[in-house]
Amino acid sequence: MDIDTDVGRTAAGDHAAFARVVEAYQGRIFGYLGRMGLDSASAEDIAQETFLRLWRNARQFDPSLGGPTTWILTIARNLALSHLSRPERRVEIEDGAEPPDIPSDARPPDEALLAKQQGARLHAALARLAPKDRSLLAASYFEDIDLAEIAHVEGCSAGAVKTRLHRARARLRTILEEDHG
Amino acid sequence: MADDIDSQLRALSLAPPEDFAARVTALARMTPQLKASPEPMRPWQWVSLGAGAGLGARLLGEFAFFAFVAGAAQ
Repeated sequence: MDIDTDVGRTAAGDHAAFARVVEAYQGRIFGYLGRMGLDSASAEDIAQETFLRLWRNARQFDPSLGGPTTWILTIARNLALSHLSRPERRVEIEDGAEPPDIPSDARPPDEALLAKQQGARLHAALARLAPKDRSLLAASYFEDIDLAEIAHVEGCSAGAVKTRLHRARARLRTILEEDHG
Repeated sequence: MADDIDSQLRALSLAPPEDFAARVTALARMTPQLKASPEPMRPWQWVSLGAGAGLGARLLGEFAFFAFVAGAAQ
């Protein structure tokens, strides 16, 4: 059964179809939130609220305005941006945010430690980027979504997405190089 | 080190907890869904509404006119 059908059934109150939608998108949503530099607790709260909003508003989903992937990513993006714009969150970033738990994948200890250090450095560098740039960078790694759909989510043209993405990567690279050297 | 920014960003991904889907589905069972937003009015509905409003205005005008004439006649 395809995801469009499941979203349609979710709108009709079908809990099994909703569970399939959650199963299909949870990995991508957590991946997206992780790449935005959010810690696992915040990512879990935002992902949960994303799916509950999807459930509550499923009857208002209009496929003519974009596919389910675009819709779900838009909900997650708006919640993540709102989370990052909270004053208490800003203080946390200024004080040095807690790095996220990077999955170790059962690597050797040295490699796992290096990966954890790199993750912490990247997390700190992401915290210095504008939230919208973090969202754009993370969206560019979202599976099964093209540039036009990212532009739809970000509310700008595909050309603007390319330019902003290039600038965000350059800025992140500069921050990482400054921190490293 | 900044050259492998792509692989680092890929590695920054988080994984959902094992019971996440089950937990969210259980929460959804306790959460009511919002009703669908009403469909926008079709052209014939606008025409019908306009005709009704016009007829009402005409009746009101006639009533006011006859009331004025009756008042003046007295």
